[in-house]
Amino acid sequence: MGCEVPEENAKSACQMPLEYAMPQFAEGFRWKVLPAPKGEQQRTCLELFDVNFETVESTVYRDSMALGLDPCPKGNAVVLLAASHGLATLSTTHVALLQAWDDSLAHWAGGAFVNYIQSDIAQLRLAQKRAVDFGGNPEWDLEMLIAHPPSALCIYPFGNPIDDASWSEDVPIVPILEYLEPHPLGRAEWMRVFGWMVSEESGDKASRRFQQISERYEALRTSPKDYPKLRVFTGSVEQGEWHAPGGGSFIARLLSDAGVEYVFQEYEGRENVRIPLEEMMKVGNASDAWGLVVQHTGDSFGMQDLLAMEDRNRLIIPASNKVFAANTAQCDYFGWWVARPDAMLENVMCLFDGGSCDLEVEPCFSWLKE
Amino acid sequence: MKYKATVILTLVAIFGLASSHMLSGSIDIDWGELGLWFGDAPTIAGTVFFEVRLPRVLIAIAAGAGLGISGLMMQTWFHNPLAGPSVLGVTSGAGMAVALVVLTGMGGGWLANALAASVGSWCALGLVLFVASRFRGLASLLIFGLMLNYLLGALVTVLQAEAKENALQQFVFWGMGTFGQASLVTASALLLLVLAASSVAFKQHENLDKWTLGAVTARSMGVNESRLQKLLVVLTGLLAGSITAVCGPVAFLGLATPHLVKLIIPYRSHSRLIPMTALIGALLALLADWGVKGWGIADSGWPLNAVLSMLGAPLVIWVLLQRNFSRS
Repeated sequence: MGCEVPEENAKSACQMPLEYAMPQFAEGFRWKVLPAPKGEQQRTCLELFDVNFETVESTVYRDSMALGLDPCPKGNAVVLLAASHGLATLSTTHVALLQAWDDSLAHWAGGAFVNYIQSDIAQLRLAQKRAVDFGGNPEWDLEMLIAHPPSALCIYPFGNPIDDASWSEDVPIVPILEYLEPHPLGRAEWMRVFGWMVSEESGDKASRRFQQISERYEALRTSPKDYPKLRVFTGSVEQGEWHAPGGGSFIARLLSDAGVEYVFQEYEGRENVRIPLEEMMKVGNASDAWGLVVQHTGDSFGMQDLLAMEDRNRLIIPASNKVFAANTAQCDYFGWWVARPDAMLENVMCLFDGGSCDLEVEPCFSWLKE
Repeated sequence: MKYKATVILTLVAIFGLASSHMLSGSIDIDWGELGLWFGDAPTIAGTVFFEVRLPRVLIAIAAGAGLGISGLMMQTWFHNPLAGPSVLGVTSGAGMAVALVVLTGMGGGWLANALAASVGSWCALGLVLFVASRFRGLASLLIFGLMLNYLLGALVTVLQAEAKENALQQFVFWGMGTFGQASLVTASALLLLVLAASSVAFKQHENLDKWTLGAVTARSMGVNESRLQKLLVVLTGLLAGSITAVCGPVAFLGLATPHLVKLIIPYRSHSRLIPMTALIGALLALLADWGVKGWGIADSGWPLNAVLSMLGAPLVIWVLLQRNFSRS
C-alpha cells in the first residue's frame, strides 16, 4: 500500500520542520501539510493521537499517493477507500458529527449498535436500505462489512472487530477519540475530521459549520450572566461511593462556561473522581444545585424517580431542592447535543436563568419536578 | 444406544449444525463464485465463506472439543466431577494475565491477549498441580481452586477499579468470549493443535482408566504418576490456554461436557470417553453459537458466555439431580 520510506531517509525527514494545521479546541487530532510536487495542489493528512493525546497513533491519508508524499509517516498508516462508499460508524455520536454538516447523511455508509441512534434521518436511511446495519449486539456483522466495505470504519481505539481478519487491510480503521476531549467545542470539532475524511469540499463545509457553532458558543459564554454564581455538583452513587467527572472534564468546562462554579473543579483531570458518601453529604448541603445524566424510559424523570434510583440520594439533594437532569431516553444527549455544544450551553444557561427561554429545540437538561 | 450409533448420530448432528452455520448468514452467498476465492481476485462470497463462516465453525468445534477434553482430563486426574479449567482457576489465570496486559495499558492487541492468556493459564495450572500433591483430600483441592478463583478475581477487580475507561471497555469485550474473531489461519492452527493434543490424550486412555481406580492401584498397575501428571499439565494448559487466547474466557464447556457424555453413554473407558467428549463439546459449542446469533431471529442474540452459562448450568443441575434420584 503506497511507498515505503527508507529508515535513514525517514529519520532525517522527521527532523525537518513540518507544517501542521491545528484544530481550534480539540486535542486528539491535527492535520499535517504534505509537501506538494511542483504545480500540484497542496495535500494534507490527518494525525490522530493516542488516548493520552501525546503520541500519534494513526495517520489517515485520503489515498495512497498522499501516503507516498509523507516524508515522516507516524503510527499506523490508514488509507481511505473511495469516498463514495461512505463512512461507517460505531457510536451514535459519530452519526451526529456527520449529520451536523451533512443533513441527509448521504456520506454515512451505516453503523453498528443502530438501535441506539436517535436520528430520524439515520433510521430512515437504515429502513430504506440506503445505510447498512453492521450489527454489534452482541457481535459485529462481519459479513455485511465485507459485502458493503465503507471508505473507513470509525471506531473507538479498542474493540477492533476485525483485528485478526486476513481481510482487515481492506477496511481502513479510524480510531475516533472525541469522547475524551475535555472541551465541549473540542468534541464537536471532530465533525471536521468526518468532513475531511469524505472530501476536501466536505471538510470545508464541516469547518464552516463548526465555525458557526463555536462562534455562537463563544458569544453565549462571554455574554453577561444575570443570575448568581451557583455552586453546582454532578455525579451519582455507584457501589456506595460518589462518582463524578473531574475538574478537567467536558461537563466541568460546560458548567464553568455557563457561569456557575463546579464543585469538583479542584480535582484535576478528565477522569471520574470518587468521593466518600459521608463527605458527599456535606458537599450536597453546601451546594446550590445537582446536575446528572440519567436514562429513564416512561414518563418524564422527576424527584420521586431520583429517590427510587437510590434511596440515599435524599441525603445528597441540596437544601435548595434544585436538581437538573438530562434524560438520554428522551433527548439525544450522546448524539445531536454533542455536535451542538452551543445549544447545550444555552440550555444550561437558561436553566440557571429561571428556565423560561426561547430555545431552538426541546431542552435536554431540565429541573426535576416533585 | 450402541456406542458406534451414538458417535454417528453426534457426527451427523455436528455436520448439520456446522452446515447450518455455513449456509446461513447476513448476506446471500453466490455459491458459483466460491471457487474464485483461490484466484487473484477474491470475491465477496469467497471472503465471507472462507474468512468469516468457516473459521467461526472451526473455532467452535476446536474450542468445544478442546475444552471438553481438558475438563475430562482434569476430572479424571483429580478424581473430582467438579474439576474443570474454570473451576480450578485455569481460566481465571488466563483472565488475570490478560487483565494485567490490557488494564495496565501494557498492550491490548489480539496477539498480546493471546500470549498473556496462554502464560496465565499455564501459571495457574502449575500452581494447582504444585499444591495438589500437598493436599490429602480432593475437597481441599477444590476449595483451593475456588480460593484461587476468588483471589485472581479480586486482583482483576482491583485492576478494573484503577483502569482507564478505554482499557476497561476493552477488557469487558474480551471477557464476553466469541468464536467469531479469528482468521482461517488461526482457526486451522487451533483445530490442528486440539487434534494433536486430543490424540496424545487418547494414547493415554489406558493410564487414565487405571488412574480412576485410585493412585495406589494405578501405581501398582505400572502407571508412572509423575510422567502422567506432567503430560496432563502440558495438555490441559495448552488446550485451555490456546482456546482462551483465541476465544476469550469460555465458560462451562470444560465442566459440563464430560458430565453430559457420561449421561449419554454408559461406558467409562477413556478410549470411548475422550472421542465422545470431543464430539459432544463441539456440538454444544456449535449449538451455543446459534444463541449468539439470536437463534436465527433478527436483531437478537446474547454474548457467548451468557449463552453457554444458560445452557451449561441447567445441564449440570440436571446431571446432579439424575444421579441423586437414581441413587435414592
